[in-house]
Amino acid sequence: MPEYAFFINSSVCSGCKTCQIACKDKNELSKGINWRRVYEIEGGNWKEENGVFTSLPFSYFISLSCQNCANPECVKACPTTAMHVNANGIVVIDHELCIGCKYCAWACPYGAPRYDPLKKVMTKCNLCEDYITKGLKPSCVASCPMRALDFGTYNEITAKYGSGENVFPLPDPGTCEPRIVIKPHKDYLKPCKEHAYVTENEYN
Amino acid sequence: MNTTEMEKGSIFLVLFTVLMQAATGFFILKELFIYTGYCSCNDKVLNISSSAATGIIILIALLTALFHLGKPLNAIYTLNNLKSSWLSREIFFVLIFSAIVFSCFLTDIFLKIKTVRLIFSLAGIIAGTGLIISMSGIYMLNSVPLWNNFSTPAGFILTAIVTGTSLLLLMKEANKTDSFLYAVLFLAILFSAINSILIFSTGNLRLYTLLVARTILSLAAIISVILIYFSIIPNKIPVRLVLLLILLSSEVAGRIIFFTNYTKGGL
Repeated sequence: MPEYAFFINSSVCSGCKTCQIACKDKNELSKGINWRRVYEIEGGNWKEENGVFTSLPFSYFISLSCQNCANPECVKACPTTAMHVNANGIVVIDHELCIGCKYCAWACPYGAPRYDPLKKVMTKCNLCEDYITKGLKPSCVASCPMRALDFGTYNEITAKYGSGENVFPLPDPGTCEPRIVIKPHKDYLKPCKEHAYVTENEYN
Repeated sequence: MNTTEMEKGSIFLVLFTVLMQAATGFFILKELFIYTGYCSCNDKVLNISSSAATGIIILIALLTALFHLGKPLNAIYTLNNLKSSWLSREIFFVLIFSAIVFSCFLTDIFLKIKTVRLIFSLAGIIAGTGLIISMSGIYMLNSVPLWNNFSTPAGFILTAIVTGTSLLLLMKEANKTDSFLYAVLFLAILFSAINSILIFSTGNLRLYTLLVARTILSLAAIISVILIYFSIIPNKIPVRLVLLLILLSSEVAGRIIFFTNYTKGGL
């Protein structure tokens, strides 16, 4: 069973949200439902050295959807087994079983499962399974004008880009082993994350 | 990182948890007090009426829970993942506990065999304990650090004791064993209120009004318990009913504070 993974090059992502729109368009998502989300992380502080103050502002973007974790918390939490790993190794939802309890959304540290109030069930990114079975890239990856996103099996992605970094504010990857490789923006190393703001702009 | 305001549907989840804990606490405490001989309330009328009351509370709790779900008709599939889902385990224990309460009710009316009743009591105590543990397990998620600590099971157990004891006081006839129950109630209200304040102070400081309401209601309940304990207020049914209503409102407020403090550790 293949383990699919996304690569995100945060150092070149301009935050244009084309990936988000492409995902909404391809999957015909309802208003307010974003399977892929672009987060803007910004903040800053002052550093004093010999009476001289230097500003330390930072700002970068991270584009996230389902991380297709190797040990998915959403699958463990789902009471009905609606959330499951399918034969292609993709975490998907069986809407015939879903009760819309939102427990998977609580359990997922990346906020990937989204409740659709119209369908009254949980929904989530399926990695554009129909595209990848035809050998195509998911719509978000194909649409990125900065080529900040890439997709493949986890082995392919790590061979190409290395194991990446766990960029702030992503949670400890140890809990669910997300299949994601991130090349961080240079600003992510700035030591003032306690003053950071994370915003998710909704495009509906 | 991002915080979510409590959704409208979550009020049904609040009511479900508080009512289910009340039913469980009531059943367990009643059975424990009866079989340890601490409470002289081992009479048929109390058993039948308390089993019926527990059953009614469970029924209301289950009906309110359905409003929280997007597709309640799919609820039949909720036992599919007992292996890893705490929610699945909670529903399993709800069903077992409900069946035992119903069996107790039928035994008290028709069978009247003490050994059978004792077996049902023990099974009910085990299932009720399993229910409270699995209910706590649901909220102890790695992704929600504010819930993933000892205050969650502590809060749920204390709610069960507070509401269970006040229900027991309401259902049983007044006698000298009430002093012990009021002492238990006093301590449980105190710790429950402290637990709620601790949850509030470590989370996002929102809903001050609710915390003020929770504190005032807890104080009112504590003062009432002290006054009843020292016979300044008569230990009568209307007084106990008012005390139960104050405590239920206080616990609901506390649970809303708990749910509103839902803050993801991730994104």
